[in-house]
This record gives sequence, C-alpha cells and structure tokens, in this order.
Amino acid sequence: MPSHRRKFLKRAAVTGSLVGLAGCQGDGGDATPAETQTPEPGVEYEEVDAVSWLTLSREDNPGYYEEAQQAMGMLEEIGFQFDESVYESGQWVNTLFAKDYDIANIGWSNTVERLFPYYNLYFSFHSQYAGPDGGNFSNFVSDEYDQAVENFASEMDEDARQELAYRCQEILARNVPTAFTTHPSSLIAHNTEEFSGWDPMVGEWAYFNPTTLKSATRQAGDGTVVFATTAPPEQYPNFMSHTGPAAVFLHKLNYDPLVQMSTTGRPIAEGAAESWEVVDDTTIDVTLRSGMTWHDGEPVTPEDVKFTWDYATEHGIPYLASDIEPYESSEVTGENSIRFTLSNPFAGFIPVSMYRVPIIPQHVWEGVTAENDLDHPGQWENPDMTGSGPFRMVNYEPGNRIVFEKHADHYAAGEYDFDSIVYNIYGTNSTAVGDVINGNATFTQGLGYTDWQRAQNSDTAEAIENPSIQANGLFFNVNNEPFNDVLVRQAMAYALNRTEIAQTVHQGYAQPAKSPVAPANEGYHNPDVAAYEFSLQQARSLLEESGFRYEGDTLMKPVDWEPTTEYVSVSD
Amino acid sequence: MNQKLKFVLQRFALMLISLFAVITILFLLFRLMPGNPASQLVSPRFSEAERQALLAQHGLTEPLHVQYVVYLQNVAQGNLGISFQHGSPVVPFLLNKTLNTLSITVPALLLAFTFGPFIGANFAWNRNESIDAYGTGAVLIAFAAPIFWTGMLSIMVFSFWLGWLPAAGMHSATYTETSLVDRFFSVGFLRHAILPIAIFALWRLSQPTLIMRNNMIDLIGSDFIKLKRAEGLDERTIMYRHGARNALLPLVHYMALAFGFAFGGSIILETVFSWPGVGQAMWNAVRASDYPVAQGAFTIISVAIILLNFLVDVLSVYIDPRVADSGVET
Repeated sequence: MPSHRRKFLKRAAVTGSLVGLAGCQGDGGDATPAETQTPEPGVEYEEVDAVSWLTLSREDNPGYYEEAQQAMGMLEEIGFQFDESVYESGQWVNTLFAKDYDIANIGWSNTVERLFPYYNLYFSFHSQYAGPDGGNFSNFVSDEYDQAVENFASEMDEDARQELAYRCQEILARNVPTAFTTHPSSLIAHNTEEFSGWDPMVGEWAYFNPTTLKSATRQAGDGTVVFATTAPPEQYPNFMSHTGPAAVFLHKLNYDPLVQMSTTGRPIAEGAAESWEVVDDTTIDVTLRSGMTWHDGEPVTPEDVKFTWDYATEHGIPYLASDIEPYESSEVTGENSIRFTLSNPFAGFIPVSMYRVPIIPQHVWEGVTAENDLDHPGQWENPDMTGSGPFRMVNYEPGNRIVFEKHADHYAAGEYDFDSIVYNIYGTNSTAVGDVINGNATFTQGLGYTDWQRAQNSDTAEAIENPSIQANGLFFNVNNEPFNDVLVRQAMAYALNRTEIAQTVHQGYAQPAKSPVAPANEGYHNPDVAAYEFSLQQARSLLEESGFRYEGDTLMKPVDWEPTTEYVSVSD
Repeated sequence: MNQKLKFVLQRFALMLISLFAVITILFLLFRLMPGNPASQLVSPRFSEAERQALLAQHGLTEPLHVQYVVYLQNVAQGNLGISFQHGSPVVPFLLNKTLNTLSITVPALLLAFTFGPFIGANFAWNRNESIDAYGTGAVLIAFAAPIFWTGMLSIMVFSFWLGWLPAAGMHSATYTETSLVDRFFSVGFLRHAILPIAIFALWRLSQPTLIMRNNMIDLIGSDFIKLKRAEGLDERTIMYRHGARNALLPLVHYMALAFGFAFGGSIILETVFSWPGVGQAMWNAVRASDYPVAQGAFTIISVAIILLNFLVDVLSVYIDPRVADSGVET
C-alpha cells in the first residue's frame, strides 16, 4: 500500500538524518518527555481523528512533497495521525481554494517584487481572503491583523511601513495560522568563459532581468546571451493575456517599465521614468525620460503611459489585477510628465505596480479589439510586439526558444555588452547545466542540488546559492478542530525540526523559517519573532494544556474538547 | 459483392467509427481531468471572479454539451482551436512540430527497418551460434534499456566528454530559419539530429530484427530452401534472395504501424534531447492544461495511426487475398 511505503521511506530518511545529526542535536530532542500526564479521571476521551493533509505531487514540486513527508513524520512523534492527499497541480489548486483540508503545505514564489511583502502578508492572511476561493489558506481572521496589514499596505513612509510589517509578523508568529518550515535557496549557475562580472538579483530570477544583464561584461564569444531553462513561459507573447512570472520577465526585455529594480529589490530610476515624486498618499508625479522611441521609431509619450494604464484597467489582465487595481486615473501634465491618482493609498505602487506594468504603444493597441473583432485584446493571435524596451522580440518558437535583439535606440543600449539574448527551452535540467558548462548556454536557474554541484565542480562555470525570499510552511485550516486552538498550532510548530527539514529535503541549501518574510528581505524581515525552536517536550505540554492526554503513545482528546485559546493579541 | 471491396468498405466504416470514438474520448478526457487553465495560475491573488473571467476567455464556462458540439463542428472543419499558451492556431503549430518529429523518427525507422531485417536474417541463418546468442541479447538490451537512460548516456559521452555533438535542440541557439529546406538540410541540423536518430533507431531495431529472425527460422526448414540447397546455390544467395524475400512480408504490417506511431514521436526522446517536436509540445500542453494543443496532438496522432492501420488492411488484402475471406471479425 502506498501509505505504508511512504511511512517506510519517511522513517528511513528521518532515522538516517538523526544519525547524521546526532552530534549536533540541541536540547529538547528527546522523544520521551518526563512528565506526561495520564488521562484525568471523570473525563471521557477519544482518539484524535486523522488530520487531512493536502500536498502537491512529487512530480509537480519535489520540495513541497518531501517537506510534507518529513513534517508528517515529525508530527506523528507527538501523536498525530495523517490522511494525506497527494494531488497533481490541477486538482491541488481546486482543493486548496476550496479549503478542503486540515493542513496544506505550500510556499510563496521567489520573484523580486515580493521583497515588498504585500502578497506574503496581505493576500495570505487578510480576513477578506478567508473562506472559499480566497488566498488566505489558513482562513485566519483577526481584526487586529487586518488593521495592521491594511496600514502596512497604505503607509507611504518606509520606516513606519517597516514597523507595521514587523507587527504583522509578530501577530502571525504568536497565533501561528501557518507554521513556517524553510526558506529554500535558489540554486543557479552561469558560464564563466564568455561573460563575467554578474551582479545577481535576489531570488530565483538572478540573471534574467534587465539590471543584472547590464552588469555582465563580455570576455569572448559571439555576443549572444543564452538563458537555458526548462520552463516554457506561461501565456506568451500577448502582453494583455500573460499569466506568470516567466512571461513577466520576458516582457521586461521587450517593454520598458516605469521603474526598474536594483539587484537588492529597490525601485531604481533606470526604467522609462527619469524620476518620480510621491505628492501625497494617493498622488504620484512621474517624469519620463526624453527622447525615447518605440521599436518602430515612433516617440514614446506620456499619452502612451496613460493609455497603458487605462487600457489595462478597462480590459483587465488577471495576473496583474492587484497591481492595476489601486490605479484610479492619470493625467498628462506636461511634455514628459504624468500624474497618477490612486483610488486608495498603496505603498506598493512604485516598487510593484510600476515595475510590473510596463508601457505599451497606444498606436499599436488602440484599435486591436475592434479591428480583429475580439472580446479582449488578450485574444489577439499574432500580436505586434513593438515595445520600447532594451530588446525586441524577433522570433518565438513555442516550446523551443524566444530570441531578442538589442534595440539600438534604447537609452541603456550601450550598457548591455551583447547583441542578442535567447530564452532557450531545454527538456531537462541536466542538459541545461551541461550546456552552461560547455559554453553553449550562458546561465540557468532553478536547479536541483545534483545539477548545481556539477556546475560547481567544473572549471568553466560558477554555481551560486542565491539568497531566497521564498517561504514554505504548513497552513493550518483554523476553521477545523483542533486547529482553532492557538496552543495546538503552537505545539505543532514546536514539533517541527526545521534544521532537519533543511538538511534532508534541501541538502542544507535552505534556512529554517519563522516568518513569511525571509531574512534575505532585510527591509521587512522581523528578526525578533518567536522561532518555536524544536522541542517535543514543549509541544506535548502545550497539547496537554489544551486538554489533550496521552495513553501510551496515543493522543487522546476529551469528547467535549473546546479550544482554550482562540487568539493571542500583540497588544496584551 | 466483390469480397475484397466489401472487406475494404467494412474496414472503412470501422475506421470512421474509431475516429469518432477517439475524438469524443479525447474531448471528455481533457474536461474530466482535474484542473483547468486557471489552475496553472497558482496565485493567491486570483479572486474567483478573475478565475471565471479567464475561463470565459477560453470558452470554458459554456455547458459541456455546447462545448462538445462546437468542438465537433470545428474538428470537422479541421480547426482544432487556439492554444491557450501562445494564442496561435493549433493545426499549423502542431503540423510544424510534427515535421520536426518526423525529421528524427522517419530516418530512425528507415535505419531500423533497413538494417533490422538484414541483421535478423543473419541471426537466423547462424542460429544458436555466438553471433545469434549475443546479437539477440544485445538487440533485446537496446530495446529494454529506457530511452532516457541511453539518451542521457549518449549526451554525456558525445556531448559533454568528447564534445563532438550538441546536447540539446534542433539548431544552435542563434540559428535563424530562412526556409523549410534550410531547417532540415543543413550541417547544423544534422549535427543535432545524429544522437536522437541513433538512439531512437537503436531502440526500434529490435522489432524488425526479431520478427525477421523468427520468420527466417520458420523458413529455414521448408522444402524450397532444401531444394535451393540441392541446386547447389551458395548460402548467401539462398539467404537473401529466397529466404529473406519470403520472410519479409509480415514486416510490412509492422512497418506501417511503426510509421503511424512515428507521428507521435516519443515524449521521452524529445525531452531528453530538448527536441522541439510534437511529443514535447504535447507534454508541455498537458502540464499547462492547454487543452486545444494537447487534444490536437492526440487527435493528429490517433488519426495517423488509424489511417495507417486502414491502409495496411487495404494493402494486405491485395498482397494476400486470403485476408478478405477471414472477414472483419478477426
């Protein structure tokens, strides 16, 4: 039976790593706590039901899958039993959004705009997204949190915003709607013979972004940068229908965003905007660079910027919905200037919205729906890819490769030390790494440990462990018993040996996590929140405090069990 | 009615039924599969309304029977829809990919079906000698060894150790296509195609070889071979001119089927060699819930196989008229 096999593998892995870690085991690791209380006389107990656990199949995400197996093994140590559902991505997403689980383990992705932790804090824990179809996978509801995170999102002052982000993390750490496990590193490699001087950007997309591409200096070769990847872009090339991170990064070459991102994730004036000024909480003035042209030679005007935002608002781009939503209107205020008015203050407008929504040409897109009889411009089959970005898409063979050539009239054209860049799609990571080593490709990302080591051991490639802003964790469905008790959630958080998960699942290329905001995100990571250091003793005593008892190794729950603590406020 | 004609018509009717069944099953299969195009957009930021909007964009909010009727109408007109992933029409896209696939599967099959019978005949002629024992074993190993393993191995040796051949793709990354002829008849293409062709040919070699070997073994004892020996002909002439020619007939059937499957290529082969063929397109489409492409790829492959089966039936009734007598029930 599959479940037996799982248990065997899991135990084998746990035992193996325990032996390996025996020398450095901290306190609290002992499996037989001294003072286990026996069931109280006069109270009727029953065995605790199996906890339903949702995870993604190994094929879809080995990291999530393996973390689930390890975590379940650890939680079995304090008496829980699990009923695991392993699904392919389609069914997994449906189940996740239906909140049809007690625990689901997932993580946030690793793209640079998430350094502004809007998604990790707002969409994942605001009560507005609790319930079916929302992205608050814990169903966590707290007025105190909502207040804090709303203030965070609308606070335009950086220091005050950091305080609010800290507060959000503090509330989460005390209430544990999610027990965080790890921040897995991004394993990335590049060839060292043709280009040098890379300044990798934080997160997964370390090289394939305009800022890092500028940092590369050509040593040899034919002036082509080849990105070896195994991930075909999501919907591409129509900008109005794009749906994922790969497409976002591809569009950044072809189109110019108003702001670019520094390699540490700060908005920098290297995009189409020469400067910007926050006039008040809902007004932002932007000055465009003068003399910019589209790939077809037409001038880029502030009218194009206004058109883009109005057009995107009118038709909608689901993937960018949250970036576009705060936009209310804009007004061309001069030859090269434009004023944005927001419907409500949104601190992420500059670092996220203005970075993710580039400028598209009015003269190309204006009549598209009428001319082609479309409901939505995203249905335009063979879109005119004229943009104003540093590169121009010249060839797209779906599933094979995408070729970009330098736009010689771009204001930063001189800073790119190569003439063309190819997004080359490989069947396997091992061939991609092989080609990076032998010089047929320039860089690759998203590697597994084995492939990454190959690059590290070669003379012609360099492998880097890039700081990650990803956070994985177990989302407790707080609507379901017994996860409506903070003590139970804290107990589970104590029972997780994060160091061991990092060692066994990620071969050490991960940091233990205690917050949705990773330490690599220096601007917002709160270093002072409770870490729930591994302690089975603490875990068991918290369960007992909540009314649970052990009969031998079996976890028992009073028949009329009620949660003792439903919420812990930070102001108390 | 003419027995042969009746047989052919029956087969034709069966073919139509098969095609209709396959097309219907494909439609249902992809809709009953968990997940939809919105599922790939795993982002907590998607509200239900946004997900619905996305589904509506792809015509997936219509009731199933309406979708089915539209689908049948479109298929009848040779229209397999628009890809969700890249917004281009599925038929030209897949035909283009099919060409890429055929550019390695056809040469590989030609190699296998040219050398296979020759090798098989030799094994049979030297039955139970070491060439037969080791040779048959080697052919079986080549068949049993998973293609991803032999493929990876060949890439490791010829691309990464020796550096003789490229490891991935159909052309170098900087290649710009000028014409279809240029795509398939250039040194660059040949260098990229050698390894996948060789690996696929090696894998397909077992069928023609072993079928030929068995047929030949059956033939060796027959009277006409003894007669030829008695005539004093030399062994080579008997083996090739008289033995092999007779043993070759059943292979025609297998060959046609093999070419039918060649349209589908091999997902594994194309993944290992990053070959932009129909197998890889199908794999990516299934992963991305891109129904039109996945459905279209399966449709094209099924149609190719069903058509070639029909052609083989027709062909065999003319090669061997006894087939018609045994009727359709066989």
